[in-house]
Amino acid sequence: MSVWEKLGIEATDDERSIKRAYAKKLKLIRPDEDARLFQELREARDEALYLAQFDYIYDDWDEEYEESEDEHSADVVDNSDKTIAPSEVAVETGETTSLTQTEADPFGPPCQEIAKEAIPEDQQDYTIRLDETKIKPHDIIEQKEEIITQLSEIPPEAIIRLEDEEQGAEQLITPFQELPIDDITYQHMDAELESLMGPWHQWNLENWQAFIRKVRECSFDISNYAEYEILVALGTQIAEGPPLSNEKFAQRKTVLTYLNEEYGWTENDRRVYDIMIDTHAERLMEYLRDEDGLMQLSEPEEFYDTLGFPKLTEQHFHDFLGKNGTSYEKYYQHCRENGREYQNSWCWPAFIFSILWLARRCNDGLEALTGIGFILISILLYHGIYQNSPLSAVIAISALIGIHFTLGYYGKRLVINTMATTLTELSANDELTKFQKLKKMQEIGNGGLKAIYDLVAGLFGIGLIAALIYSIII
Amino acid sequence: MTSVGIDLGTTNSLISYWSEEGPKLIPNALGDVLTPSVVGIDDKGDILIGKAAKERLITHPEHTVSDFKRTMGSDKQVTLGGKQEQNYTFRPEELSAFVLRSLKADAEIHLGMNITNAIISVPAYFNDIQRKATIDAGKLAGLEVDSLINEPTAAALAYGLNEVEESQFLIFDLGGGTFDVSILDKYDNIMEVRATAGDNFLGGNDFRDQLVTKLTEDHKLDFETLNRADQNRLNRLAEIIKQDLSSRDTSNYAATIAETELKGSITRESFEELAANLRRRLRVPIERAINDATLRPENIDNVVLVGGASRMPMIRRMVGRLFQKLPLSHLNPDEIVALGAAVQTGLKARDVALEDVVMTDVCPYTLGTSAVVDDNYENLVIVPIIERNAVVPISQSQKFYTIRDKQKEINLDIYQGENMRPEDNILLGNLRVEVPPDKAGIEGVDVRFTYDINGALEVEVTSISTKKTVRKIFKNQANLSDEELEQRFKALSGIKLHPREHAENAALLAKAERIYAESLRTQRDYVRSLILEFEQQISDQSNRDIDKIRENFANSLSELDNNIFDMD
Repeated sequence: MSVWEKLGIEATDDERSIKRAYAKKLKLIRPDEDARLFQELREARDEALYLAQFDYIYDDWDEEYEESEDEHSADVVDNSDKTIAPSEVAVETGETTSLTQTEADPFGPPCQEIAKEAIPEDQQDYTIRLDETKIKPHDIIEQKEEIITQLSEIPPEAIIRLEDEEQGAEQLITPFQELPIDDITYQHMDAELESLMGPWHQWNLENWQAFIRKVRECSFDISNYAEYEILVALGTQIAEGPPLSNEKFAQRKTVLTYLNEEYGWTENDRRVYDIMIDTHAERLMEYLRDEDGLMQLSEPEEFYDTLGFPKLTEQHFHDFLGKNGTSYEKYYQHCRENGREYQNSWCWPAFIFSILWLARRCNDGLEALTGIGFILISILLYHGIYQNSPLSAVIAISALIGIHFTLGYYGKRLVINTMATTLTELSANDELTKFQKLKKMQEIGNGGLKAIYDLVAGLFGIGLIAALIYSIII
Repeated sequence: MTSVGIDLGTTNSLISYWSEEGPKLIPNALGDVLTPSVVGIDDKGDILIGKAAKERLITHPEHTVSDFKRTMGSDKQVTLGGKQEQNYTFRPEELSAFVLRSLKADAEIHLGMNITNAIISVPAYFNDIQRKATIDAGKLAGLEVDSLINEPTAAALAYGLNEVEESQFLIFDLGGGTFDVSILDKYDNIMEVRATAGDNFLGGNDFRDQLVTKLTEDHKLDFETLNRADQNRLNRLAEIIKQDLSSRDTSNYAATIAETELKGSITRESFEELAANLRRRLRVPIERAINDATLRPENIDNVVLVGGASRMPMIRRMVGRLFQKLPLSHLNPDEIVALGAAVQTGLKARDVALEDVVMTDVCPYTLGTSAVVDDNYENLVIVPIIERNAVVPISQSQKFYTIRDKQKEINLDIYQGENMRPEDNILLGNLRVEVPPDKAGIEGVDVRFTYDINGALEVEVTSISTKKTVRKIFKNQANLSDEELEQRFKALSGIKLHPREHAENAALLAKAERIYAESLRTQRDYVRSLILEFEQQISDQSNRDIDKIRENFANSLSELDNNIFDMD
């Protein structure tokens, strides 16, 4: 619902009628009865009054256009086709030479040629008639390129005289910086960008990169606009609190680097303070002035390792693989590069003290399970010895050796191999974000654990069955 | 109609009501619409209010108190009649309640019905605590305060209804103790307050004090060492000179204070020179109000002068110079606020005559909370949430985040004021909300301030993650708790006001005693004989001609009084 709809009037720039509409509505609402509606109405009124300060609204454009057409019919070259409203910018020299074009190409070659002919090189004064440039914003957008071409024909040092015939007042404005059509364009671009990519402060990294690319590519100078919007968006982000994700870090880094290169913010903070509220501006400037500020802003270093994994997980990795974790990985990579098959090194401690080894790898529960298995086997063993049955002793001892061997070899191989493989693949993968990598890392860890669980459970089962069969035989 | 409008002023108070013909003032027992805001205690232990008490400021300084509006909202207590058995100690709310009770009694007799509700005017720049104290005073007087109205807003209502065309106008309200400026926009029967500013400690009494200082300097007196009676006498003398200088260029005075013969003259120029500093202070709120309304002085179509102190020619001249136009003041500046309060009661009751009028007011001060905004978390500053001069009712919110790891709760102090540091502002209260412990900056709360049309602030804090909400309404929490209020109400009900039907006699007698105290020798004897005769006559119940006797007595007194000064 637009502010005008809330006020129940057509868009206007007449303050009096905005106030009148507000008064009319207010008498129905009454501030003491519905505070929320009153606040909405008031905000609508304030915004309408704000908008009314600028000449954005050309609702009666068609009429005005027709009027101006009549006035200048003598000067109009070709204006027969009016299905889409054309914009007219009349460039004048001392003598009035009004130039118009059809809607398809209002500033096409003939116009430019005439303009060039009409304006001698040394002529420094140009006049744009404002009453003829009352253009609807969407036309401006469509014809932006043409306007730029047209304007770029005027030497930049020239002074453009904007003449508003209705008021008879003249304004002197330096070109390209404060032309009123820029405002309209900006306003419209803002709406367009928002419809394409959502509200500024919700943009993701790609949106920002695309935006910055566009701003750089754009021949039309929208830098002021871009700077302002970025500032506001950044301000909002900062106001919303510290960044929560890596992506936000990267976004800020991208944007701030751009702003620093383009506008030299570290040198000149006036603009920042102009636009943003002081506390936000101050914080931003602190980041910018600090030599490593951008780095700090983008990535607090201590959280990440060389692979780009958060160190928290690397700690897990170390806990899980032991000190040799990285060398396993290096060895694995070396094997792959040289086309050799990866082979596990033998680990005696893992073989002899498999329970301790598992405990060292923080597999709580697992060593408990194995422990129970060992106790059962020991019972079996004792039973066999007590019964003086050499067969039971042999089965128990072989089960014990089997568990040791399997845990020591396959457990180690399974865990380390899976982990090292996935680690290498992950670090080479650019498509995944760091957080996705982190998640994968945890999955590997769990996967390795699960393999050992399955193995031990299987062995335990086999042991039980063996014990069962043995007791049946006995 | 049970609702009345009350202007509870520093020097004078008024009561009014909305009738079909418009706002009307209610006269007190003496037939005056102005009841001096002075409270005293008489020899029997009854409470005297108004003119009688005002006269006794000089004769019984220990038993009488004035200017208590200036201490509203503080817990500065005054003890009346220290020597008596009944030792009365009162808070400013209670003293105000006495005045309200007397006004209420006047209105009940005048209108012939019970008065239960009132709208009381307060200086726009009164802070939250002072406003609550005023509401408490109403309660203590047995009045339900429907709402408070800002004094300049009330003045604007009284003026704006008929006197002012559709325009933007400025209300310049210089009362006895407070100064307020409001800028209003009137269009289509909408009265919109654009901005309000003021100074709670600047009023006519400060101008009077300048004269007191000059008098003490000229006559080598030390104000501090004078006894209370002499101090009050000096104040009264200065007040008379001040009022005198409004109508003439030079004021001659002669009085005896503390055995010193004071005789001399003060010219208007010298008074204006003395008050130059005060005039400079007057400009500050004016400038702020104009800035806040985003206007230029030339955009102000009219300036309306309100308040007794605006009668001073130097004030008129200053306003005229500032705005390049003649200020309006064709209504009685003392009465206009009370009339406006009555209009507000009509508005509130949706009187037919006022159906189309809508008034919107602003919150005169900034409301916010304290938070750290710097990276080191060192400097606690105010974060405004509702900026001053925002149109009320209004609801605004802002988010705040934890600053430490594993922080378990967020504490929000609610402040009112324009200063950056919390300690320079007025603390209204605080709220605590629990948040789940997490890393710093992850957990946060959404703080919503809602300021309603009666000036009550509600703060609602919601944890962003758990959606748990803590609410607090900052209403009547300031000085007295409900139980205290109840208790004091009972205590006050036990205290008798001086009988209303004797008010006129009491005022005359008090005046006579004051004249007695001020006069010497033969005049003294004459006054004494008058008093004794009058007392004897009024104690004689059979006497039917009491009105005539009273009139004679009053005439004789004013003849005597006229010999000294031309006043009342």
